[in-house]
Amino acid sequence: MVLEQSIPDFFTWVIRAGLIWAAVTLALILLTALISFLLAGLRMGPKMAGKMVLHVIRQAISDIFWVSFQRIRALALLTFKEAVRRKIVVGFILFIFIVLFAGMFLDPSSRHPLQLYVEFIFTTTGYLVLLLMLLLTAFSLPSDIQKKTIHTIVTKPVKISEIVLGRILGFVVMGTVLMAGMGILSYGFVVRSQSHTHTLDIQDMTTLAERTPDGVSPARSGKTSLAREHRHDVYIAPGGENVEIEMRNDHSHQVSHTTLPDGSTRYILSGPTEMYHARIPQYGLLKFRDEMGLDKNEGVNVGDEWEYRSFISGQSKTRAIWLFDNITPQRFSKGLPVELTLEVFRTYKGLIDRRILGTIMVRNPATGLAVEMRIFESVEHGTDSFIIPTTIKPIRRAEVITSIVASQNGQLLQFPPEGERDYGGADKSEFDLFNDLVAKEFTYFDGKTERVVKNAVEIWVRCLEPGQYFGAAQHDMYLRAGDSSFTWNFCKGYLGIWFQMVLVIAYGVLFSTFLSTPVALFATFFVVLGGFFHSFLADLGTGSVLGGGPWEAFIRMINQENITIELDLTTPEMIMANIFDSIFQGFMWFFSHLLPSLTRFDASVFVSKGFNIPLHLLAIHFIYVLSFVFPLYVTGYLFLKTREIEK
Amino acid sequence: MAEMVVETRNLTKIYRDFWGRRKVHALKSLDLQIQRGEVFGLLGPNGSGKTTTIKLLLGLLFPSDGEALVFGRDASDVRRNEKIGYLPEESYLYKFLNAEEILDFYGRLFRMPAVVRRQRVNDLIHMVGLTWARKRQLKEYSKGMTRRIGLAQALINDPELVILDEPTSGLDPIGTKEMKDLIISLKKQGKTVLMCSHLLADVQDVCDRIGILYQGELKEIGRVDSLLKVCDLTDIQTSLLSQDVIDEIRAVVEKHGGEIKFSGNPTTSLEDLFLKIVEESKLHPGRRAHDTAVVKEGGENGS
Repeated sequence: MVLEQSIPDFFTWVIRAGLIWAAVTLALILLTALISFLLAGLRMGPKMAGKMVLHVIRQAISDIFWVSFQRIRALALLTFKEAVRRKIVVGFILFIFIVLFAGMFLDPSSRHPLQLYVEFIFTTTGYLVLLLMLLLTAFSLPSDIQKKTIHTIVTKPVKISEIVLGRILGFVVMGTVLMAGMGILSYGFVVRSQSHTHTLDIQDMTTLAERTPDGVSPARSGKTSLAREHRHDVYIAPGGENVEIEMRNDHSHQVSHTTLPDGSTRYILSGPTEMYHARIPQYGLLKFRDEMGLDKNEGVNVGDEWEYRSFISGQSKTRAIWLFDNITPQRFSKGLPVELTLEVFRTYKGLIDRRILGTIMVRNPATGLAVEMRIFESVEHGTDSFIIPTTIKPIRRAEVITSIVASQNGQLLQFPPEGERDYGGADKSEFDLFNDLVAKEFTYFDGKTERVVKNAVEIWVRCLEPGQYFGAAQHDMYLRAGDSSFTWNFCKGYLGIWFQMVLVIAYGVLFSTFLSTPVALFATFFVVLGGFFHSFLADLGTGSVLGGGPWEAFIRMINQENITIELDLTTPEMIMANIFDSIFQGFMWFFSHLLPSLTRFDASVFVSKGFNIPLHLLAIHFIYVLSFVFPLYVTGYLFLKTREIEK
Repeated sequence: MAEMVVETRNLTKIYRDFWGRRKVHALKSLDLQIQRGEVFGLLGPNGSGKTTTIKLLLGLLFPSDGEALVFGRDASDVRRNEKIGYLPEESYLYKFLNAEEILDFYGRLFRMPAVVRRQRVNDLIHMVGLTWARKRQLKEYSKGMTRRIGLAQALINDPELVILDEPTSGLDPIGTKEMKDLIISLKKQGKTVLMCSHLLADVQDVCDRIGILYQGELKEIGRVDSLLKVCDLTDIQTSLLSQDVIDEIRAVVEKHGGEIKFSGNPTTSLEDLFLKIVEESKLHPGRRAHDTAVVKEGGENGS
């Protein structure tokens, strides 16, 4: 699975993000207070203005933090009932229709059917829920104000903050109920649509060897019956006991057999297995060894525009090296289950069907003892799974390899140092993974900082074929430390949509506190759009998009010059372009920070590709959502508080 | 000295357009005090500033100048709303709820315990005569029924101050009478009532004091009985007298330098007649209608 950025450590992220958030919030509060003071000062003089601003701040703090849960619950319940009686259920019925007819349009012969169905259902749910919330929130408060029903609420002992919170919570509860229904339906749809069986009659199989010992049935092979547009190759070992089913379309089957009335055997392949995963990966640290044998953070650049992966070349000293820690017999008693996804970059076509060869080597970073244990063929556009056993037989003589790291002052340092290298151990014919190749404790040095790593092992990947390259990224290799429940992972994936929904609700309610329905609708839609293209907006804000700002783009359009051509402008023109585009860039920067990134919550790829969604990622997302919802709530309160309800 | 429940000081409201230009001077320097236990009526033609005054008191509008205090607190302090009941001009209620649900909702806003809330909801629904329609959504209610449930919501918290904006608007004569009876009963309970209306008879029947607004200015304020008292006339009503007796009385009055301005049978109000007929019809169901004018004329023609 492509994971372009590592999932940060929860506490590191919270501390860093919390500090930034607190600083920005404080700055905004001070700025608002200052502007209010200046505006009020013009009308009533500085002394009265100061008193007024202090009074407003005091009251705002009291209103925002001291709220009545009972009143909020009443308002939330009202919002819920309003949505229900506005026929929100129509949205759910629409969803049922989509699910009912989706099977007609989704290709059952897909090589990755689970991915197809999961991503379809997550996308559909997400868009539908966001659309419904967009409409409901934009209509809620403006409708209340227009119909004056809010008059009977604000004349009760209800704080404005409670109205805003009640609205937000009401929609969240309603959306949660709606999503729970959709989730159950979606799960049923996904699992049900993947369910199928095959059969295979023994007389339809090919006998592979005529001669077998007496009483032992010969080996056979054949293809199963067609189901969901595919068949599996089946191999039955001599004796008929061991049956191997080919993995196809990301699944296999359990086999049982029955005897038909005519005495022949029929094999029955029950529902799909090995399809519903939620792998718990343990990622390692990736570094590369270059042509000179030096450790680097990046490998060879093959000119690939996507910088996610770095490359190692065939038949050279280059290696991709992953370091894993916390490797203990208690956690991995049966060996290390490794899953590896490599990109292949070919400089010549050769036989395109033939896969590129590489090797896997296991190295103890503390002693330098390195055991090459496996030759593999690259699995392009797929994942290779293998186990590093607890007892390793090397495919060639083991050796001691030192890592060479350049320190910041240019000095070349070798690890492990001379005295710690295990030259004697290299002569063994078998190696114990935990005793020989796992370093109990060693000091890891990346050229800048040192840190102690415990129970660590390195896995090296080498490309064997000259002129061909393997591309690797940090998350391309991981140890499958365990498996979580697919159902639970599905629920966690739905939480991603829930987070998006909460944000849309908060923005919708905010806009509805001071805008009319159509304008609030448009503004919320704009937030959703901006949220889905957040990274592009952020790039515009930081100037990292090629082609400059609108002024430069306009000049290029008029002059018909593409973005790779240096602009030939006079100095005044250049100054004008720079000023205008800088203002635009600043605006985009500011704007991109006001909007949340909605794509960050999309966890469907985790579910569809069978990776567990870490709980701490959900915790980070939850805090991220809160960091937006709280200021939105406060802003909504301020807008509604300073608004004449009657107008 | 009685406690001041409502007090405005130099209360002014100017409506401005988007650019801040003055559009309407809706209320000009209103100074008003209403004491506990009073029934106060704000009178005036449409656009005189009655509803603006009420909305300023309730915080639905912000004053351009001056203060609007209720129980000594301005509108930013919502705690005062604990003691206020407000019936708007139109009953702005959530039409998708039924009578029980809407009253329960407002009860929750006052953080009333569930048991008390249920009892109060039952009592109020019974009081406004909507027991038979308690489960019907408000969108199915007639205007009069909506008005009644609006009144019930205004009383959910057993308020000390009841603000009624055009309370009899949309009510039939029976409803109007019930509303007036209710206002009088609120007064008996020691509540303060502030109402505004342009139906002068309604105000006259129930208010202790009135203020008359015209074009945003308070033109008159005082007790109803003293304001309406005609000091240069004496009104004596007796049982039916013969013409001879009337002539005798006239002679006595003239002897003392007075003058009888009117003598004859006084007419009742149409409202009283209507209510009397309805009461009789309740007691004696069946056809009653007859054209008194035709009968009378026919009788005369026949003699």
